[in-house]
Amino acid sequence: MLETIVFGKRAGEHAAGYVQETDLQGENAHLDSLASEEQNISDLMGGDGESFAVVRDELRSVMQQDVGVFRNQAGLQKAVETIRELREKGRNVRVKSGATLFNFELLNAIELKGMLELGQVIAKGALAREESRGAHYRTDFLERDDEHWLRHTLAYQTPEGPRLEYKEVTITQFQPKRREY
Amino acid sequence: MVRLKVRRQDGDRVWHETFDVKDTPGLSVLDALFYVQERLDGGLCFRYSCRGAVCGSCAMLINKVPRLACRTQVSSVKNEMNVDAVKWGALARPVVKVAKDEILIEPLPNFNVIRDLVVDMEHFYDLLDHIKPWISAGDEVPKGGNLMSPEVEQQIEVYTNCILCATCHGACPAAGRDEMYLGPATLAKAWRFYLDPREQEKDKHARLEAVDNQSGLWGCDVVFKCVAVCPKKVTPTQGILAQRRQIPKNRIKKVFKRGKNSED
Repeated sequence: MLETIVFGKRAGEHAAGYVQETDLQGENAHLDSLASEEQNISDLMGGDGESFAVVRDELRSVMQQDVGVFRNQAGLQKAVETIRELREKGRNVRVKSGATLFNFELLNAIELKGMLELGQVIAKGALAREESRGAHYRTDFLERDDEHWLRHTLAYQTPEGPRLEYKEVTITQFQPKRREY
Repeated sequence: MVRLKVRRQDGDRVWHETFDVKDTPGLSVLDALFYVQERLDGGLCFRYSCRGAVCGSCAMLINKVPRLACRTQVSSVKNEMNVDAVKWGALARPVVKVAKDEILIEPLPNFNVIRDLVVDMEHFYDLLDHIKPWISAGDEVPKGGNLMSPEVEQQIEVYTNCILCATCHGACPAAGRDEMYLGPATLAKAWRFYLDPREQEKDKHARLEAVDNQSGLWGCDVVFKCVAVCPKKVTPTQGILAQRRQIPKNRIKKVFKRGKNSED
């Protein structure tokens, strides 16, 4: 808990300092992103559409079922497909409450968008990683495979969904080895 | 099935609304509110965060008793017995039973309502700031470190368990009468810092003097309502009484100190 206070203070102070020292060029660009955020929110409001709770519960259930600690190709493939469908469904989520104060329905709808993105990244990344490592336990690839998979997964957002790339791990003091207990 | 009767508020408009929720084993009042918010009325608002009685965000009035929604089981409050407040005196939980299988949910009293069950906590935090709730000792640590005996640690721990949920403030008759009254949570916190061996004597005295008035220690009705509702078993009234007892002791100490100084 104390970390949140310590790092919150540091982050806040640095952000304030940064803003003061930095010449904020293209202030219009910020106004543009503000306008586009406002547009995103107003697009979510009103009208008939999916409820965030229905889509979120479906996402929760597929993540629990097929993207938990124990995973395999069949389950992950199914999950990637289901989440892709849920993302489509997620586009139709609409917020019924027009409250301008403490509108948790809106908050939940915004959070759901992020969950859908992230769920897809997790499932796709796990499907590609054909080995077991830490809490990523592939029941169809039981062994750790440093030769191919001692790498970071980087996911990039594209209109077709996340694109995966990999980055070498910088090893300093501790040499990688099999963990045995 | 359980029926939640919720006091709603939006600006000046106040109304009560009932929602039927399927009562499943282990369902907390907070879970029931989530169900309402997610399935029945997305506009209903209430504060929450940890869902496990750690953060203190979901304090509200449940069947007329201030409690945390997350640690209140629907099964234990939906048919609460009506306790006779006269018979039990100050320690009674003044439950007003509405109907069978119904739970009355209202915002925490003694606070301004922002919307529905969300109240404005700003005033409560301001009151807390009055006592400077931090150790005043500087960065210098005495040689050998700051030692605390297990006995003192246990005494303090009772008060450090406070999560600032403000159920005590909602239950406090003095806080209801007097907006300037510091309230149980703040006064309990003052005692917690008084007990702390890291605190310098002069700072202890200064803090005690700051609460030696009607808005502080002497505003308390000593009815133990705060103790009765605290979800973390903090005992504000005992802390207030201990500080009241400490005041004459400190005055005597002060007199002797003055006497010594004049001899020099």
